[in-house]
Parts: sequence; C-alpha cells; structure tokens
Amino acid sequence: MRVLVAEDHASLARSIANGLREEGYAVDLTFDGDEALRWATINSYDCAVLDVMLPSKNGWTILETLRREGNKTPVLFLTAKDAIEDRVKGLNLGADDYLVKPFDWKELVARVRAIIRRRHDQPAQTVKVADLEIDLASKTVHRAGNSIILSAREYALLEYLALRVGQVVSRSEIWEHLYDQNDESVSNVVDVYIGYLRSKIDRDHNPKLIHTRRGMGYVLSANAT
Amino acid sequence: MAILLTVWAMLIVGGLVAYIVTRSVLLADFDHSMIARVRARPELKDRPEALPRIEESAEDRLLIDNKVGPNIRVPQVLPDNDRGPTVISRGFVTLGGGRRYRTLSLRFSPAQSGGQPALVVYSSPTDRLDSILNRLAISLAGFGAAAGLAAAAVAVGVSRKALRPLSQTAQVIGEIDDLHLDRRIDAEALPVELRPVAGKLNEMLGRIERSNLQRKQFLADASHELRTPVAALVTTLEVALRRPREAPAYVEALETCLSDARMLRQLVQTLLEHARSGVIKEESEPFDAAALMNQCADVAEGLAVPEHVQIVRNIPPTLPVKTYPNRLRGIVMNLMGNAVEHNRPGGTVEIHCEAQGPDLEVAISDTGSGIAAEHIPHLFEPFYRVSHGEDSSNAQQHLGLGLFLVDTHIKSLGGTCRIESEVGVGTTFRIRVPGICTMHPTALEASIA
Repeated sequence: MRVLVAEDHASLARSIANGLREEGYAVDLTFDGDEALRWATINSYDCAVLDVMLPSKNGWTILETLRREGNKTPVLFLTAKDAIEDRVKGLNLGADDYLVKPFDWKELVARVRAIIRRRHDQPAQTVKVADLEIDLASKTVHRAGNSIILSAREYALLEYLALRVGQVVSRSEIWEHLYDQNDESVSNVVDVYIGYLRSKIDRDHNPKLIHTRRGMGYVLSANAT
Repeated sequence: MAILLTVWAMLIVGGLVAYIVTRSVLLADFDHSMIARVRARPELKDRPEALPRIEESAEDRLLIDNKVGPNIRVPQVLPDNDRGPTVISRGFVTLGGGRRYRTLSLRFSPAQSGGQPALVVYSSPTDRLDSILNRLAISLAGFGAAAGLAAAAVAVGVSRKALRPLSQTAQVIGEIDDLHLDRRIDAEALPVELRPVAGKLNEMLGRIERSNLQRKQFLADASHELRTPVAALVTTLEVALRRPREAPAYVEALETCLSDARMLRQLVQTLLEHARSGVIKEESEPFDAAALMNQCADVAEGLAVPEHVQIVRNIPPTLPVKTYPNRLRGIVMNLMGNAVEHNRPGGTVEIHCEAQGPDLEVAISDTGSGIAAEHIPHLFEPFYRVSHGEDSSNAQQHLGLGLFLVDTHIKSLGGTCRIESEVGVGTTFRIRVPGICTMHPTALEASIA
C-alpha cells in the first residue's frame, strides 16, 4: 500500500514516514503543499496523510482540488487545530478521517489501515482465500492453520493482492501501490517478490492461490481459471 | 423635578395666605358684630347707674368699666356718637371651663364734652369661628399634603424613569466579563450629561476587548504551535520503541527528540517571557547605551564570523540613557541575530545608534535577501513565518516568535519600530525609544558607579 505523507514539521514527518514504512507501507514524504498536490495527482495512493497547515498550499485546498478533479484518494488530516468547525470543514470537503496532534501512533496506523480497507471495499479484518487466512490488523498470515512468516515487502504484496482478491492486478499497479519514489526501479522486482510469495504460500500447499495471467498480471484466487 | 417642587411650594404658600386672609376677614366680621352688639346693649343706654357690673349672659360676657376702676361711675349720658367706640385691644382669652373668647377692649368717647369716656371689655365665645377656621386649616393642610404626596409620587416616577437607563447601564456593566467584552453601553438611552462617560467607558471596553482578543489569539496560536513538536516527540519515540533496534537507530531517534524538545523549550521560554513582560515592573535605570550596543555587537560578532558576515559598528563613544537595559538588550540581540542569520556570506550587519532629540535611535541593517512588502505588516505577529525556505529542518528552529518578542519589548519601552526593506538588498530595523539622558556625563558616571 502506498501512502503520501505531507507534513512540514520535518522530524514529525520523518517519524511518520519511517513508522509507516516499518508497517509495510510504501511512503512518499513531502514537506510542501504544492508538492503534495502534484504527487497526489500523478501517483495513485491508497491513503494521503496531510497536515492541514502546509506551506504554499494548505491541506484543505489540496483536498478540494483533488476532489474537484475526481481524484478519490482517501485523505486523513493531521492538524493542530481541534476546533469543531475545523473538523467539520475537513470532513465536509470530503476528508476520510481527522486526527488531532499530538496523536497516538497506534491510532494513526489503525486509521490508515481502516481507510485503505474501505478504499478497497474490504470491510472485514481478515481475508480468506481457500485455506489461506490474512489478518489485516495483526498482519499475520496462516495457511492450513500454520503460521507463515513474511517479510514486510512480501506481506505488503500479499495484502494488496488480498484486498483485490479475485481481480487481476497488473505489475504496474503493484509497483504503484507498493513502492515509493525512493525505490530503485528494477523491472522485474514485482516478479521476484511474487516468486518469494509463491514459495512461502503455494509451494507446499494445494490448491495454488497465486496465478499469473499472462500479459495482464497476477490474481489471488482459489480458482485457477 | 424643580417645577414640581415649585408648584407644590406655591400651593402651600397659597394655602397659608388663603387661611390668613380668611381668618382676618372672619375675625374682622366677628369683631364688627361684637361691637354692634355692645352698642345695642340696653344697659349702656338705659341703665347706666347699674354700672359697673359683670354680666354673664348665656353666651357673651360683658364688663363695663371706666378707666379709673370698676367702681367709678360711668357718665350719665352714654356715648352714642356715630363714630362708634375705639378698639383699644383685641385678643383671645381662655376663661373658666377652657372656653375661648374673643375679647375686645372698647373705648366709648363721651357724648358730651366733659363727660367721662367709657371702657367696655366685651368677650364673646369663638367656638363657631374657631371651628370654621379649624376646618379651613385642616382642609388646606390636607390639600397641601395631598398635593405634596402627588408631587412626590410624580417626582419619584419621573426620577425612576430618568434613572432607568442608568440601572440598565449598571446591568450591562454587571454582565460584562471576559467572555462578553463585546457588549457596549447604549449612550443614546442615557441622560445627556452621562453620554460622554458612557462613550469613554465604551472606548475603554473596546481597548480591553482588543487586547483580550490579541491575548486569546496568542494563546490559541501558542497552544497550536505546541501541538506539533509534542506530536513529533511522541511519534518519534513511539515509532522508535515499536521494535528492537541497533544503537545508531536509537541515537538518531534521540537526536530528533532532542531537537523537538529544544524547540519546545524555546517556545515555553518565549511564552513565559511574553507573559512576564506585561506583569513584572522593572525600574528604569541610567546606563550607557553605547556600551550596551558594543556588548551586543561583540556577541553578534561571535555568531557572524562562522557565517562570514562582518559586523559594522556606528556607535558614539558614549550615549547616556535612562531606560530598561535588559529589554533594550533583548531587542538589539534579537534583531542582530536575525540580521546575521538572514545575511549572505560576505555580507555585513551594521549597528548604528544615536540620540534623536529625547529618543534613542538604534538602526540594525543587514545585507540579506530583504523582506517582501506584503510580509512587513505581519512581521510582529506571533508565529508569523515569512518562508520556510528549502531547508525544512532549519525552518523548525524558527517559531515566528523572535520579532513578536522584540515588538513586545519595544512597546513596553514606549518606543516604535520602523522596517525598511528592499528585496535583494537588505533590511533595516529602525527603533526609537525615549530615554536620552540630559544628565551631565560625570553625574551619569557617578550614578552608574
């Protein structure tokens, strides 16, 4: 999942970005409002964490512009203003959530996760595909009752496939959602990680769940066809 | 009010006059009828030999006497001229039984020459007259009292009506507290005499409201500004503690926390300094402003050398002033620090000070990038930041409170500050504070020593 973080207080911004990366998200970080809007327009984010008071363009303007252009990127506002009117304004503009500084880290992560689930119409905490169980909250994976240990990248890839279970996901979509701007663009990195995932999830089990659709991408599904 | 009192007083006086006039008319009439009766007494005509005697008829008492004494005979021929008797005295007596009598002493001139004048003392009870006069007095007094009460009632009503705006004003004033400082006294509803007072009160309320709003805004801004570094501190620590890490990662987290903690400290110090500036009353003192400026320039030089900025001093050998040295130092240090920081390598910061009449003028000029005109009116607002520039981590160190504090200090010294800036050329802060000493230099030195 790829998240945009826009916050002008540098140490807060870096801590949020680092924390979210450790949670397995691909994070693009900016300190500036104009840049945040530009990136949100170009890239496809699963969630944008925006500070309201950003230099050059505030969070509200960014949200307004995005919605006017039909961009539905979910937005979580971070703000030092906790007046009711400010919250109402943010939500009226189409913000998905609102967190007042200082916030609890777990709460931020929980809300980002909830926003992403909603974004992919996945209301449940766990996704089940045949005997594969993915718990989105605890980020644990079980197959046939056995725990499977995945790296953060592997988990992120599986989670993305799981959120779009049954749908074919292209390599470029995977790239878009799992890798941030700082990741080196290696053409076959998605295929490499699909390989790692298959070896952990599918090698010792049947039926196979990760399928290649030649020329289109990958799909997580109980059915091979 | 005054009119009412006048009317009432006139009513009272009129009543008194009416009473007195009526009484005198009635008495005159009474006396006249008494005299007529005396003259009609048969004994005065027919039986003068029977005199003197005191007759007590059913009603009147009659004492006929001559001037020598009761036993002296009165003249044979009773005086019966047209002139009538002369009234010698008249008055009231209270005789046995507590009954009041009108008593007239009458002198009848002799009818013939050589005759003796006759003196007649005639008393007649005044019950009826008294009762008439009493009724008149009572009704007049009653009328006066009623008029007085009516006047008083009207007066109270009128004054209540006149005072109602005052009591409304008092209510409005009573309702004003720090949450309702926007309320104003309705001057138009007040009596003309009180309108200037109401106007001044409203002006005062306006001043208090403005300063209260500024204070509230500052407090809101300050708490707003506190939230972000606190959030950064908490988030950095929480993220750092979520899993075991290598030592360098902890060091990095701690260094990040330290920078946020320093920012918080600076914020808190500034808040305290601002809060104190309005409360603590220092004494102004005489000192040499030139020496203070040189001290500030020395400190600024320490900051300027690593930035390759040169400090240029334009300071007279001595400049005695009487003001608050700590605040003046705060102002100058802050401005010089800014001037060094926003300068370019190889640039200069000039400090210039001189006496301008009764004022001390200090000008601090830099050769930095200058400030765009649209920012200048806002520079002294708390938390106003012109630009974050490219280096965001450096921007964190600027809370936008330095110039706000400078302004607080300048105002507390009763001074003014002018900002002259040209983008790309530099900025000059020109401060004027009162307090140039006219004291003789040696006296000043003595007082400093």
